[in-house]
Amino acid sequence: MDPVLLKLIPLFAMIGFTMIVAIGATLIGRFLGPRKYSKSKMSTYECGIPPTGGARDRISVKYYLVAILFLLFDLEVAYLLPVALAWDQLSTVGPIILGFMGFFFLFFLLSLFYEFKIKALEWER
Amino acid sequence: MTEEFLKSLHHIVPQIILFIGSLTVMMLGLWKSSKVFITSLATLFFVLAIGAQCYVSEMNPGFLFKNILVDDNFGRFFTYFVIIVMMMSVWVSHLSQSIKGKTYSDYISMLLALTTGLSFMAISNHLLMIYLSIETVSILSYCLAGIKKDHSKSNESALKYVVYGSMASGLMVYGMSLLYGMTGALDLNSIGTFLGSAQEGAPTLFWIGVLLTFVGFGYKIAIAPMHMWTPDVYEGAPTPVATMFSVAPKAAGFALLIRACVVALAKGETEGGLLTMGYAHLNTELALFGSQILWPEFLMYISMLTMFMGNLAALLQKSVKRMLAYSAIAHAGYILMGLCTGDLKSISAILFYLIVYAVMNFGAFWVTIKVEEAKGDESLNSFKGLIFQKPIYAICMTIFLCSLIGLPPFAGFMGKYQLFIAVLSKKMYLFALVAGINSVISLYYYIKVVRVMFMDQPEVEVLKGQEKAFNCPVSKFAVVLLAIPNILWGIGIYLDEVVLMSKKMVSFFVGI
Repeated sequence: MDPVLLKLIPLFAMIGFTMIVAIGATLIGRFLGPRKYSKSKMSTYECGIPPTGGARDRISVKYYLVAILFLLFDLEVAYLLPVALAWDQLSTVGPIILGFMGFFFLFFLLSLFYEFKIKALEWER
Repeated sequence: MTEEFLKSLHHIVPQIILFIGSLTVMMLGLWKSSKVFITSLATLFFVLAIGAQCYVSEMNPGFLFKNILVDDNFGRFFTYFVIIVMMMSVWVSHLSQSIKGKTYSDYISMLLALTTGLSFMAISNHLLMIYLSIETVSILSYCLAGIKKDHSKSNESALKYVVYGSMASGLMVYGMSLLYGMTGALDLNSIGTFLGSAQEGAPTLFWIGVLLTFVGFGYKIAIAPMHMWTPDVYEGAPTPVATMFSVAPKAAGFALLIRACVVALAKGETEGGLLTMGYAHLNTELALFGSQILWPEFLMYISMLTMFMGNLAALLQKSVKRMLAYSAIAHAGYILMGLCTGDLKSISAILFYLIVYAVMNFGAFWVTIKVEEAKGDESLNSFKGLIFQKPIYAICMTIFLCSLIGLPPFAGFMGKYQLFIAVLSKKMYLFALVAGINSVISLYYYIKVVRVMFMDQPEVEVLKGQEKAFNCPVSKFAVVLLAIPNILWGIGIYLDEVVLMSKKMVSFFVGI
């Protein structure tokens, strides 16, 4: 047996134990628990008010577009964080890095402009 | 640190130019999306990038950005290769009618960005950078396959590509994490050092990591167990995109595979930090669960499987595009032959074959594009009697197909000859026999197209309104231009120059 694999035995044991506990707890609840159904218990939970409409509603694809565009900008902003955190150590390279961040912002602005121009952010087209 | 950083930036000027080109085309396309303007703008940036690459090639080879990238002859060859191939793809897209209107500028912008990713693939030396460049290429490829939004086949191919590609890249990232866990390093040189210093061979988990990473590379170059996406994606994607898929990402994927095999998995001697021809041998043992197999031997079985899979499936195809997709799989198998000998000398045969393959495959796809546009589909029926309708296309298609088979007076023969010599010089007779049998199998389906073009009467007429495009002199000129090198190299003119160049380019910088 590979020595590296031997080292990992505790990890596999833990995975196995976790799975036994998880599956076991579910099964015990299923076999031992009392079951009493009532109409209100089986109905959909909608924050306490009586449920309305079907559960399979269609959502406009535009929501996804907005969500994806938001995600892109969110990610781009996340890239700025490491620079801010490492600012203290960037004594001599600081201005260069700042220049690169300027470029980064330029691409940022370009993509926003592109979105406006192709009317990706307009609800009614 | 600043100096090293700025020095490294000088080495990636071509990539920066391509990236800026992509943004420029995207933004200017908003105002002026005429095809001629966008194509000439893209060509300008490609030419600038080639010029910058000439300038970079004058510098000394070395690591960039602390071993993340490496600039050496091998990477330079593939950077030139992908830039030129992508420039050809832009022109093919310009001349074809499948992508037009407002999408065209976005499409060209994506091609430029894809070139950036491909050229980074050629020079990356670090698992993270490898993953990043492969993903850049993959995500843009998904978009390009589905560029025709109102075309159900195009959408289908994009979805299939996404599902398959994300699975493959997930496995690859998992493999890379195992490699990192086992070696404690991410750059290929340190992995190579680890492997060299491991006393009783590397641990099993290391090899599992290598195999999983190999899945990611194999999916990009479409070799056997990872080839299933190829025919469906090629069939659904617009034909100019399929043309590009069959050459550019494949070449860059081979660049990655070869670099990973040579730098990380080979035990070789270096001279002045360079690993050049004749100094390395890839005879690393792949030890998995007690059974041991040499890594080149493993690649040999993969190569055999790829050839059989591609060639046998191609026999049954009715659509010429699907047939060419399976032929692209079979060719990946042939190209892999050069890596199975465990000798750096045969890698120059791979480089030469890739050049030849680019020329002949572009030509075959180009005729397919013209026939598809003129007649509405690219089944074998549309090719019937092409010699009576448009002799120049039929004759050039015959040249390309004979070159793809590897018949003697054409360039494909010279490429295959070098690969066979490489294999035979290592006394791998069975392997050479299998490759020979596969060449014979491939004869049947390539010649079937030729037979239909020359022996049958035309069945499908040219659609109304397409006669002008079918007679377009620029398209005829392009197809003749692609046929010329196939003949010239086949009869030995300018052949030595290309072969010598491909030999010179097999030189890896591995650090002193």
